[in-house]
Amino acid sequence: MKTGVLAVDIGFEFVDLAFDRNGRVTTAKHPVGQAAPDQAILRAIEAISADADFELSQLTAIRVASTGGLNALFSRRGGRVALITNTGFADTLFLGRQNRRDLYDPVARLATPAFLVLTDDIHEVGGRLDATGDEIAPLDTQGLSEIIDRLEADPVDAVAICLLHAHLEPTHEKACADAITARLPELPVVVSHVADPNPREFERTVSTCLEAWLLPSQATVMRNLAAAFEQRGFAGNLQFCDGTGQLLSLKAACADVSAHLTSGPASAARHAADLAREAGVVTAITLDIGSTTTDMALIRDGMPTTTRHSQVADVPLRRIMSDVHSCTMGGLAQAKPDGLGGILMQLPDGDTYPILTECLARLGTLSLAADEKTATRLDALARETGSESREEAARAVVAAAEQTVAQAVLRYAVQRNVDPARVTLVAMGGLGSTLVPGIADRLGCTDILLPVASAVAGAMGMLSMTSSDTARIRVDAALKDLGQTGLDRYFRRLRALLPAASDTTVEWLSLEIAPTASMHPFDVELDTPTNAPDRIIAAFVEQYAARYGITPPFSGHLFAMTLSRGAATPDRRWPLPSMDESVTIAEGWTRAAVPGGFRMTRSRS
Amino acid sequence: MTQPAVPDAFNLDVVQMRLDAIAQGMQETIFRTAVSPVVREGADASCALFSATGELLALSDAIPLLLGALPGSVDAILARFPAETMAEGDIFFMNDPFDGGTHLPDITVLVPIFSQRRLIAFAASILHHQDIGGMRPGSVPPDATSIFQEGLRLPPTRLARNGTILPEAEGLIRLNSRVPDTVLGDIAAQIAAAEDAARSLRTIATETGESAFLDATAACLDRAEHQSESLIAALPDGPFQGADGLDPTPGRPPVEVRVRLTLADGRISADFTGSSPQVAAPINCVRSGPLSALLYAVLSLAPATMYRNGGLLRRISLTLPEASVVNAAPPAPVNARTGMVRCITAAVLQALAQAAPERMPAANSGMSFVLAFSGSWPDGRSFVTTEIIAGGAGGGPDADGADAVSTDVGNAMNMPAEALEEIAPIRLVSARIRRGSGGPGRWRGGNGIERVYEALVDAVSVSLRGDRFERVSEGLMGGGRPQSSRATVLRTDGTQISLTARSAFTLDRGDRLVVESCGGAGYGAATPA
Repeated sequence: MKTGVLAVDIGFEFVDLAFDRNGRVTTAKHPVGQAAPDQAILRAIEAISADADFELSQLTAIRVASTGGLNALFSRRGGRVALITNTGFADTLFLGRQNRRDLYDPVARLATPAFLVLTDDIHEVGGRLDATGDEIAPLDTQGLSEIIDRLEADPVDAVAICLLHAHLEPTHEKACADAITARLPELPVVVSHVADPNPREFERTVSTCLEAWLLPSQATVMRNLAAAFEQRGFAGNLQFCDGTGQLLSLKAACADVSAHLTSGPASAARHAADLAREAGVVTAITLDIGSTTTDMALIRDGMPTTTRHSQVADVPLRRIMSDVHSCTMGGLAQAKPDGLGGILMQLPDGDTYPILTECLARLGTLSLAADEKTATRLDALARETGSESREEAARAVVAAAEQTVAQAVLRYAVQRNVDPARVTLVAMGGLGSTLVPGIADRLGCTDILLPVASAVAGAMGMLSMTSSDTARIRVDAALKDLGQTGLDRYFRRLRALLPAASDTTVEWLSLEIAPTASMHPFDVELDTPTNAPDRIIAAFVEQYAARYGITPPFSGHLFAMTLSRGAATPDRRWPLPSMDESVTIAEGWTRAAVPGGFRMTRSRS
Repeated sequence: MTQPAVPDAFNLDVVQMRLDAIAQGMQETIFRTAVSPVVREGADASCALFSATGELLALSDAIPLLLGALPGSVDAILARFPAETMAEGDIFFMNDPFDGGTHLPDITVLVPIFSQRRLIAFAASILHHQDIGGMRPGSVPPDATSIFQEGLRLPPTRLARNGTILPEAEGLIRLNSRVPDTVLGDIAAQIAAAEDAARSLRTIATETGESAFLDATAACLDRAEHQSESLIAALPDGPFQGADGLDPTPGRPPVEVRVRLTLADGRISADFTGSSPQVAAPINCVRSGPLSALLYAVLSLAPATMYRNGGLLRRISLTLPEASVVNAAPPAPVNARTGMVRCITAAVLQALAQAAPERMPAANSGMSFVLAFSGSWPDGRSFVTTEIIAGGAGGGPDADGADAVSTDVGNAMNMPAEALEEIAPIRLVSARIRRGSGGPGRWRGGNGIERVYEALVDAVSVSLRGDRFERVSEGLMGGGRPQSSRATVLRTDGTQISLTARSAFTLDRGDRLVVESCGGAGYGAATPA
């Protein structure tokens, strides 16, 4: 009889596992080492299967989250992509929005992910649509044929197609894709009207090229994993976590690999949200402090919030995903003098100054083997910052690290209309419990949640997830013009796109609405879908005001509707931990056990 | 934990970063809720917090061109409406360039913030409004010869009392703007941003107590002043000279900017004596222009940990000749002041490069195009839209200059073809990097941009403001000069019209406009092939 769900979260250094059999959860961490991702996962499973007493063939489901795509992005190692775009727009990816990375750097650096496609791999094709989607010049099929000749002669790993206004009318993009597939059937093709069906050509080009850039490697890993599991007798449900915390089938996951970029942080945020909900916390920010980055996510009413715009590894992402933001401050961050007596925490560069973890070790906060060069590095830092001892320099580094994260949290919170002093911080990752109290002090926070399983939060989060089916349709009409009849029509079309509902499924609706057609869309989330115009407008006004503190100036333009249908979230109860559990309590804080972790508080006075 | 009355060093960092984050939060609110495309797509707005005594406390990361605009505007409003006369729910606005502003489309909105009935701070924003009247749609007439042709000139004025917009203030906008709903929508976004900031600041003041909050903000200003003093003291005293000039306006004398920078005694002094007298063309700028240029130049040398507030302003002094292109007096027109501010910035950076040669690249394009299109759709609806086009970055000191990027005091974003074509009957035919336009050198200057537009209806009015059509920057350390800017109209009958740097003209259906921005200068002598 099949029983048990195994959740696997593969990160840069470790494979985290959580095995759930009838509510009893076993966790483990296993180093990735030099192994390929699929091999690392298999080894980790072998290591835990004996202790947890399961075999792959017995499992109901295996759920996988991965930072594989993120690692590829950070290391800039992806597939070779050819981009097909309109005549006159070959430079869209390089031009970006013409803004620069750092406002005050005297050397202006572009904020565009130009690395996704080589200049020689960009091909222009004739043909054009207008801003209503009508054709004003037919697709140049002869020119397209010549482009395919070149792809045949000089093969690439994938093709991205992004044509102007294709989000309104995909005919030209489809014709390009069909022509390529007819002659090169094995070549993966990504079209912009599927990858990112939204206006503004630069952002859509990035989304499309990114999907094509990640597709060959990430789809291969997923397929290899599926084959390896099958070979070992697994016949259950293989599911992949996406960046919103939903579970996808292998087929769906391979059709949208960018969706997994932030699956690890999203699943960790999900675990934090579960605990926050049980602890009665309304608003929380998770801080997952790892070796290279600190990931933060906003939790409201027991669920991670989502966003439509994000930036990952300096690549602008435009897709619905958990609102995860990363700042490059982790245990390997290196302290550098700023020239004014202060310290900047930066990516490691050279061996002159100390990194954060060795400073924590020097202060006795972390147990690490002593590095004989630590003293030399601390001396160098002390000299340049005016510290009187190595300990003082080490304390200054820890303070600078806390300051760096606090600053990032502040920006993150304020930009989301959240008062950073009034949220609960959820401490996760290897350094979460060590640094978060100091960060909380800087922010004026008085409430910290510390999950017992914070080191494997990504795997734990997947145990609470469900799979769902999603359908999206473009509406592009003023809400007041749509009326009840119009909305009814779109609802019928949406529901027809989804598999039949059952007694156990629930639905939720996401509406992309802006005050006017030319303003930036805003996601209105409705846990209970409605097709009543008044209720939709009321929800838009309420959620817009909550987000921006302003009533929308116009009654609303509905761009698109997304209906999701899936199993209800399982009613999971996490056990209270023992108060004997070893947890570092910072001075001035008290702790209490809550389901799945500890809550640390201090007085605000 | 009891908050000390005067915060210790780390608490001060926390206070400053919270203030910075609140200013940035204001910016986010404006960008996401603004109605007009020049803000929504072009990001042409800036936000700041001010102390209860009117000193700059925190700035958003926005367009540095606007850095110097808010302090002067806030001073002007406080001079007309003293802080002690203000009450909760008051809102003020103004745009007078000669009383602290920049040019007429940039309206400053100021909201006093009270906690426990005590004034604790001000929230301010400045935003480029789509149309504020005047002789041409968009309120940036390139052929203006006096301020009276440029639109509504607002002295410091009460906009709201008890949180309610005054009908007479709204009437000023309604009667003067061609697109009043858009302007009022954007003013609402400015107010919302300020109210957001007010909520956040009140929370901090409540946590710390109002007195401790005021002490903390005063201490942040002192800390920034000290940091600025250290930063400037670490540089050689100078004096360092810089000079630059704009393309001549037909029929007007050439204009030059001269600056003499002295960095002695922990102060930076910029003396613009010798700069040209103001002209009857809209290229003049007012005091906020050189202040923005100088603030940007100093901040570009500062580490990220330095507080960016009015403490720095305490260490800056400007000497500006009266009624000059860098400090115009009424009735000089100023709407195209961007070119002049870029020119001033180029001169200041040129001087600063002598003080810190290892950190500064060669001159960037020193220009950006500002294009305003207006007219009517076939169904009679009117449209007005503005876009800003960058040039190339300067090469060096250790890499080629970036192509097609906003530089120094500019940071506006471009207009996507899909956005432009939706809001105006204009087709963007192509948008390309203008290859070969960057100056040659060991490190090549960044290339400019070429954009080609086609009118889809008759009688599209275009106002074009640019620069570097004739005079381009020299390379640095032996690097070469970039290619100059160009703009050309291609009529359907085959006629080609070369435009000057500041032109107003009409496009009929099928006519094309080709705009080519200047590249950046090269750095170091090019290695022979």
